[in-house]
Amino acid sequence: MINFAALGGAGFLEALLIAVLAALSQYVVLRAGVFSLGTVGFMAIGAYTVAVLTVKYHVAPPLAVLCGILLATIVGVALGALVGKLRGAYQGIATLSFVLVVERIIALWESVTGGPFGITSIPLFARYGLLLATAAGALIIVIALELTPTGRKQSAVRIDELAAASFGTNVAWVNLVAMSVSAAIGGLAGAMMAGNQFAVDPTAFSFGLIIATLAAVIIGGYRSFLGPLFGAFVVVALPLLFSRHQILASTIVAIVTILILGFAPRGLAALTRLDGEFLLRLFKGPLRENRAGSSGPSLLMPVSNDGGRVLAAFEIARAYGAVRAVDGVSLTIESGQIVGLIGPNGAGKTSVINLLAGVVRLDDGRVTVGGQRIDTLPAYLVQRQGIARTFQACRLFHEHSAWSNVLLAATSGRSRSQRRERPDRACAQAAMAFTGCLDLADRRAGDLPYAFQRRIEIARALACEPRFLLLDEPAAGMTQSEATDLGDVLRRTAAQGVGVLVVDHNVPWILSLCDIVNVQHMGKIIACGPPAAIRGDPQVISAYIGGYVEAHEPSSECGNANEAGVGA
Amino acid sequence: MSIDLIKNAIVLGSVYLLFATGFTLVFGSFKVMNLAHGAIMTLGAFVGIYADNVLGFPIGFTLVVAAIGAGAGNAFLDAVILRPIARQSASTHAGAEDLNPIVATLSFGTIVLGLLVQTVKAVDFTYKQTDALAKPFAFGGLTVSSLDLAIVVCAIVMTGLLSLIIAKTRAGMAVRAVAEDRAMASALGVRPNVVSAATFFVSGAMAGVCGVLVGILYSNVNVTIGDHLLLFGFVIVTVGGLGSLTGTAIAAYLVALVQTIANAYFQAAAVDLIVFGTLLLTLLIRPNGILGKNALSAGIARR
Repeated sequence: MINFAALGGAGFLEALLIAVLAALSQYVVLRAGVFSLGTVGFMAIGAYTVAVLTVKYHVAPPLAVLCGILLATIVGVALGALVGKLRGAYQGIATLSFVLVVERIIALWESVTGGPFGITSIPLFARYGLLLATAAGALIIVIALELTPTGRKQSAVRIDELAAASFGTNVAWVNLVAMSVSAAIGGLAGAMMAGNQFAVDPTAFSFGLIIATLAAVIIGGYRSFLGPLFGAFVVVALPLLFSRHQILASTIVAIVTILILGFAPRGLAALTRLDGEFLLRLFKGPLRENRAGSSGPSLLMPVSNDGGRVLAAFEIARAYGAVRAVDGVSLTIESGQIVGLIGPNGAGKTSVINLLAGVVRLDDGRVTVGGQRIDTLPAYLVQRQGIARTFQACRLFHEHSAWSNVLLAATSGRSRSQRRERPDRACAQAAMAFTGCLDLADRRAGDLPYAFQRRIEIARALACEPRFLLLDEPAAGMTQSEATDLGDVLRRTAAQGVGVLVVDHNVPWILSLCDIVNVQHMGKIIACGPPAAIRGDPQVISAYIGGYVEAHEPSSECGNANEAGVGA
Repeated sequence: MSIDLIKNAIVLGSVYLLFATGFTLVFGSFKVMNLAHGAIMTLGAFVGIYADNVLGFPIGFTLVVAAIGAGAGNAFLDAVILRPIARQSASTHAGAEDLNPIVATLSFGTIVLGLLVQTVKAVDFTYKQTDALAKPFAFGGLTVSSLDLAIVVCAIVMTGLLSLIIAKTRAGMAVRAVAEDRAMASALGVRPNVVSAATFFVSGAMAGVCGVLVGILYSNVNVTIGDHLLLFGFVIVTVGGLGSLTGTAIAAYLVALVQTIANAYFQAAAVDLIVFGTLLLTLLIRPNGILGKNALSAGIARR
């Protein structure tokens, strides 16, 4: 029934190694959140370059392979730049049509590619030994990429693109890096395929191969570099095992695939614990040891001495359809100051943060830091002006450990000079100690209770060593004592010279915390001043209960603004 | 451009529309790229062959039987494969942007085709009870067979009816609700499992009707008829804007027109090149298709 002998020969191993190369190429893009199916197109380019150069021009195979890789990479960069604006399924289909276009061009360009008949008599240079060496080399490159800051940013972009951009990640750039590496490995896979098979023809790069390559990485999992190895084994070995039952083979493979998806939804590699993060911990030593050894500074670096910097918004506006979410808002945040922004639901508070952080484009007005306009910059460059933020709904990279969340911000969110002055790990550790969540460092962020996720999100923002910190409802869902603790953290942050903007619903908390409080209603700022002035402002009270209230109804306890109004 | 060319484009566009509407319906509501759609269409065509060749049903009846067969196949895919996998993924935080359903539908398509090959082998079949559809009509200088008319009417009526149901009826509201938020919809008394199975059934039924009509149009049914249509279905739903029925309709006729004109002058591979090239260009100009919603956050991509 099952033909185990089929797995014995060199033929199987060679097919497996080529499949591993193809799967590695696919893996590099998927783990970066780029849904590219271009791998097979790159393979076709690599294979045909080798075939044409060696057969027609008698170029030596090593040079031909290099040319194949180079051409595939150039095409990959161009394709990556073109589809960089697409997302998800659109990216998948655009790259799929790229592969089909490549295949059709090869079929039509008979004078060079031999059309549908292909090219034969390619020198057989890629035997078992060379294939093993190239596959191992490609794997090492992929792992090395995974361990670099760029590699870690890529995985962050896959999990949450917006959050990654808010921590200084240039999404377009890390995506392009992924695409180029994928193209180079794809070209290599194709070149090896040509050197292993004597002949190439267009049918070798069919829809079926695209799907098999994608399936390999999904089955194996795209969260660990083991995934493409496991997956390639499954898609190459399974059909061979059932090769005596020709028609049933594909059906059985499909059934096994579905079973794997059902029982190991994160791929076979997820059953092991071996992945990039594991290797990082292995190489750089466990965090705990490091922590015990260092009694280093648990405070943040004081903000650099150009303390006169001010984050200012002038008459900024943004409308969504007919709703004027932000309608000519002006506010300033000076360093060392805690500025509050309160207002009823739908007042446009989160929109203000999104505008300041560069996530949403302004309709009108401008945002400046120290007099320099920043509202024309994309989010990751706004972040590099020293503006860090948190999100209303927690946006941690939930698959990563708390530690690597914060470390990523320390790596990608700081300038070169900041990073020289203080190493990434020390900075991340200080930020976690500062917010009191150092003992959660090794936990998976998505598994933590909500209040702790909040703290880690703030630690992540602080690890950027920002000049300004924008917090969107940081105390939401917190108990009174947790909110008080958080207030202490924010006061200490401001004492370091950071300008803090806090948006929240918790009016008494904001009034007790902030130096200046802005009140927003229907998109406009209706009041601004120190807490004492806001407390009794009739317009504020009226905005909160929605009706007219006598002007002089000063309530001694700020928190009872609502009740005071209702009572009146 | 001759009038025959336009007629051919309209008939071909209607075939694409029948195929792509079901595809869009599932994608728009459940965000599942159903790569088994081509296999489901082939299944419908063969259920039709059984009804026609073996049972000798009249063609109208055959269409209904094929629709039910293909619809049931698609509903099976939802209930037995996709839903358990989604549940498993959810319980392990595998993430929303997961590619598992795509591979699962693909594998299901392979299973369906594998079983079909096992049953009917690689033999070509034809529909026999098609006399009713052979009648020619003359409109001025243009001759139209009743098959052409049937295809166009079927496509337009079914797609129109579907968009009306989605937009206006309680059932449509339930589909839209489940599409938006499965958990919330069930909290409001909608039964998401019934809704999703029904949506998959309707999608599959349209593919089944398409399969029978394509089989009659090309006088040939074999296990590979779904492959090419699946690729073109991809192009159409993407050019139209994923999940938009109107966009799909526009794109179906647009792609058919481009393809028919190209067919008149170029060989098959060049036609494909033109069609896929058109897709790439469309996406570069409109990253979310003709009528797709702009889901991309402007701040990240802007320079």
